[in-house]
Amino acid sequence: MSMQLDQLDKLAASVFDGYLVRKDLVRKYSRQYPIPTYVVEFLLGRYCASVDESEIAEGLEIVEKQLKDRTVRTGEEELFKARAKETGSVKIIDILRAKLDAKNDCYVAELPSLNLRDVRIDDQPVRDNERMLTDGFCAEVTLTYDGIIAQEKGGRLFDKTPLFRSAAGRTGMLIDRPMHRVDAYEMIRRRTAEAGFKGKLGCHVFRATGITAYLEAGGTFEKAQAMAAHESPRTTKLYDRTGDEITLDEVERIPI
Amino acid sequence: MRRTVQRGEEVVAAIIAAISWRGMRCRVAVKTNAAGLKVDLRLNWKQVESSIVAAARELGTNGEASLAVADDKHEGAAASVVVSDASGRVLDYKPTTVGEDA
Repeated sequence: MSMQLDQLDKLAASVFDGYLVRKDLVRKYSRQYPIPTYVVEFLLGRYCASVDESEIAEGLEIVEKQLKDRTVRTGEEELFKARAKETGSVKIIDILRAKLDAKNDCYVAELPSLNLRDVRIDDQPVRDNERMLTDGFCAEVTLTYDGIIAQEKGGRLFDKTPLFRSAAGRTGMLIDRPMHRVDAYEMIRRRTAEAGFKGKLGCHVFRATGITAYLEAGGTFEKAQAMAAHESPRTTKLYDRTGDEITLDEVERIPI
Repeated sequence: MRRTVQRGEEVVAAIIAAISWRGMRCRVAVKTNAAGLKVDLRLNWKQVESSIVAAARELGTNGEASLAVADDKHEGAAASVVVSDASGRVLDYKPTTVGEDA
């Protein structure tokens, strides 16, 4: 597994410490797994960008495990879907494409390696990555499974249930479509105004309340981040109002 | 009357001097007067079981250690680099964000 570094390699390794990956390892894994070379380079870059043999060996163990656990080989489609059902979510590496579902006013994603064509996806990542709407690109995807939607006719099983669901006309029956964000905001504004709040309160108040209450009860920041599905702890910190004692008492005035 | 004076046990001290990230690998530099200290990365510095690295590492002779975070779900999470002695007593700890340089 070890290779001899020449003078140029050593110079490059010292200048670009932590940014070089060994091409022989890239070739080995890109042949072994059904994913593009740049994905292998990315994974090796995260764990094996070193000239220290023991660091590379340790990193390779992790990379091999991730490749094995996250790439779907022919015949394993149902196995991965079952894992998502049993554990709630599964991480896969796949070509990610999106299309507009005009009937339901939302985007849906395609994951070819799992033969899934109607996976719920938030609008924002599609807006941020327009290539999803053309030829797609290879990505690490966390696929979640929601069994509650499975009980609804025609519901999409994968991804999240919206917090505020839309209603079918004025029937009072909730459907699996999320309430439009403007409607959700208006509803919260209306109800908080009725409860006597003079300030403008939005959906984010609920997040702040939940995160603050959890942290005040001794919860860890990392788990609060996970529950809020925030990419960065910095975002979670924005919702941490543990220093603001009035907030909780005021929010509890809302009759539910 | 005869008095015997013996040298007392040296107090072990360690200070984390630098933390840097290269992908999901954390490089730690420690200033210490002792050998055989261990470096770990934990979600809660007090709890050994909250370690998120593939294996806690012993400090090298140059006072450095390199730790690999085994599961990338911790990327962006708040964690602490912990230096402890052979008995597991924490000598120093410093907060860091997984995968991000301060």
